[in-house]
Amino acid sequence: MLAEKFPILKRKINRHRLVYLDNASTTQKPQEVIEAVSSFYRRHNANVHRRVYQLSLEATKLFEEARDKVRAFINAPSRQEVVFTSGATEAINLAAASWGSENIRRGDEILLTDMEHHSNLVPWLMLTKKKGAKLKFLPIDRQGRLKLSLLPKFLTAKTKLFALTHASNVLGTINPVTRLARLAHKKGAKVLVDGAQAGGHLPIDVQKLDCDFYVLSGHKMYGPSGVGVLFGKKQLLEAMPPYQTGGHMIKAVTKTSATWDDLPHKFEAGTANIAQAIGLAAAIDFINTIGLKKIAAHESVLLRYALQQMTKIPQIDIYGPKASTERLGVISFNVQGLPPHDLASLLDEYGIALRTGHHCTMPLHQVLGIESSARITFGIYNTLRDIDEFLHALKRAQQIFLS
Amino acid sequence: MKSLYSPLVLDHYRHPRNFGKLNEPTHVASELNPLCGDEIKVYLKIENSKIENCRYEARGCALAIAAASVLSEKIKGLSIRELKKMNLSAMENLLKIKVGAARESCVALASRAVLKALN
Repeated sequence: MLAEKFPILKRKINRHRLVYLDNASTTQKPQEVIEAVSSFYRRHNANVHRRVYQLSLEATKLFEEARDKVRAFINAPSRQEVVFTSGATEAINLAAASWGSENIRRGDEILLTDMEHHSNLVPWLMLTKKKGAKLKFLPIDRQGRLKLSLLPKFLTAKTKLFALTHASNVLGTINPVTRLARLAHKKGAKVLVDGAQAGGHLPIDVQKLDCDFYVLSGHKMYGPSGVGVLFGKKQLLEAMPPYQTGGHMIKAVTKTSATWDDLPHKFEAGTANIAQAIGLAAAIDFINTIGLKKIAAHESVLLRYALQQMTKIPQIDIYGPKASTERLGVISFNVQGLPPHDLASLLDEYGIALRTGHHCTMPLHQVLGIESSARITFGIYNTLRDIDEFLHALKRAQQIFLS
Repeated sequence: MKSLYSPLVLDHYRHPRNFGKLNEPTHVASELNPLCGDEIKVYLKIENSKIENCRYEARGCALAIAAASVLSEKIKGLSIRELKKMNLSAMENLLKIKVGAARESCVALASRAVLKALN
């Protein structure tokens, strides 16, 4: 069974089996990924690039092979378009600081959606404030899907960038990003897609999508923390100024000037998160061995079962699309009379881990008219038994609170 | 491991004592717990450096409300000096539970509001 490949799932929490249902926050790591990171430190650790000795050549080879694996995973046209960052948040900050400050001017518009995670909101908020530009938000309907009929009003000739999530970490909504990218391009806007929740759950093809930027989060797709990816179209990256400067991203430095290295190194200042990138490559191998189709099918089974059972619970509000085909294995909900944090504490007593709060989407919660919510999210190792235990504990919580 | 949601906690959550406003309070303060979205407004009547009466209005999680309820019963008749000793530990003792770091701000919400009112 898949869960056996994940050492942490053997743990007991409060004398119960760990039932980990917070995969949208971070995923657990298979032995292969742990081994890849630890083996790098045990046998191949050295700094990368421009060193002549054997150990560094090995480290460089592993690091650049990791880049090639990421390129293939998202079907980027070339490795120059794959930049390693510390995470999806840094990737978006890079795009905002580098592309954004060069291309956004007073009076321009940036379009986001109501469902964005703070990491795909705050950088653009700060940029528009700095530049005197306008930030707009494409609204959602009652089922948490984007109101596409409103697009002509929100996507205008002034829109320079449409930044949106591939799939929502709260609603589970999978957005029609390919279609939206085409519409945005027609209006002359560039497109950034936040794939933090999509990586490891949905197939990603940046050429088919034709997005200008795509960001990935390593730790949300069974990889280590501290690594993420920014994909950017070559012409864009070439025209963009560096984000951070310093060692590793230069060609030549004097006391009065510096010239930049080629892509993608121009955007990778300092020593990279070498071990983490190698761990991410191992995570990609792991995902590919199982196959994304199989993963999606498994999560779909869990999602359908969970939704079917949860909708039977009296006094429950479930957010996001009703149809399981339109969403990821992400279910946010509230039970009337059961404060979310109390639910989480109670479930913790049963070894169940789920998230409560605003899930880094305060504006979305404001739109939904709620303070906070509880959220369960599935990963490769979750089972129907996990869901049954969650449901059992949830019913117990209801009994305790609402009797 | 004992559950946080003991009969004592649940009783004070379902039937919070001293819930409501005070006529002519001498000290009033509000506190917010951003983690949970808990809110409380505390009304105190203090005479001769003693708590004559205490009421509160609160919205939020079970631990915050239960804590407010037990605190409101405890502090009536206490001196200001004794009141200032109401910290997280004291609150945990009143509720007879021990909370992890994540829920400390819920349990301490009412006591923080009371101490704020004193200033």
